[in-house]
Amino acid sequence: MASEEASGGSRRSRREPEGRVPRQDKYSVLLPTYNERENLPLIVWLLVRSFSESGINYEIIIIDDGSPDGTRDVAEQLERIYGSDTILLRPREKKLGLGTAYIHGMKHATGNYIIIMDADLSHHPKFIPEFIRKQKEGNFDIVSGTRYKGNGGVYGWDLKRKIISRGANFITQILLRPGASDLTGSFRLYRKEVLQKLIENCVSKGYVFQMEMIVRARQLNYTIGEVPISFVDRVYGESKLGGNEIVSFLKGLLTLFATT
Amino acid sequence: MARPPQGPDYTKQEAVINWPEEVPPWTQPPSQPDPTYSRGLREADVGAAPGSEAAGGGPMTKLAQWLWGLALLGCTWAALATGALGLELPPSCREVLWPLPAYLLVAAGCYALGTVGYRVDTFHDCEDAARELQSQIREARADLARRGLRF
Repeated sequence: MASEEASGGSRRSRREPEGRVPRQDKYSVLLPTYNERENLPLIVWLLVRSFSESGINYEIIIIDDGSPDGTRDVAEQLERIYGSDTILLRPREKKLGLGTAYIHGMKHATGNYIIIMDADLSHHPKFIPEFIRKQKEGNFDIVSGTRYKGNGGVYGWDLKRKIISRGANFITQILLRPGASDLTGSFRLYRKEVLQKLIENCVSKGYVFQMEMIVRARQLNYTIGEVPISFVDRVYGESKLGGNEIVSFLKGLLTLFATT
Repeated sequence: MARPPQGPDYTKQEAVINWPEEVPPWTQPPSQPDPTYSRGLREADVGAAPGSEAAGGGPMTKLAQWLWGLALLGCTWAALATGALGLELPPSCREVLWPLPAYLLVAAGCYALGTVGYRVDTFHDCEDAARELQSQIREARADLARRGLRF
């Protein structure tokens, strides 16, 4: 495979003493899925292409929470196509929390870095090489994708959604001063041990979970780098932002405000 | 070792003289009204408050930081506006001072609305990214079908 040749080359070019650095950087992508039959093959295809083009050592861990739409069947086909050392299936019986999905996936991850992203094509794998470059540049513990900075942005949002998003982000920045511009996004790269530590410390769910990860990271003095990303809202499937989400977001925000 | 409850006992003069240096004030029983003790405590509290995180002290929640900041501003304003400090401010100053909190509140609101409005207006619409994704999806489907994936 092209990726192996390229990664071998980069290992030689770094001229590290034999035996001192036994392990090359490896990136484990965690893909928690629920009813992503349509999107999963596409995101995997994009991931494989992005990684092999840039010669990065990687693996993709699919954590399917018992989707009734046959996501698991598609995942098994992908495993056959790309090989079980590239695609690792670690399904669970039923829908459990996102945090536990990450813990579950991480148990099987062999990489020293973990990349977390949505499997619904809203996060494009083309940004991953930029994440990695950014991480090396500042030796960051976390690199977070941001929709709110530089060339970052969104596609498929109407004015109301933009106002809610910007307003919520503004309030969050004022109240929490978290040191990162996109708290509710979930496209991030973590050092494995950092993610482990953060998940141990996080208690919330949903949007607030992603926010709490950054807030806790700040508390634990981890460094955060940012890469602007374009967020293309769900191509297939439904994306919702209801009153319930807003209420639970505000509750979570105030909880973090009062407790951290 | 407990401090004698009454005043100095002259039969043990040496011990009484050396005592304050040997025993730090916070080990004294709190029942003793000791002015240095209570002043020291208050100073430590105030000193630790504003930058306790940076100073490596106990963590302070964001809520507490806000309350501290607001209390500090509020007290300063109240002291100046009511003349509690005994400062004789010119009448023109006082006229500005009284409604100052209301002005600041309105200014903060305007800043918030302006900032959010500007950011909504300049929020990038990633049309190109969406188009690129659509063409890549077609490419991916064709390639995956060739590799034998049944969608």
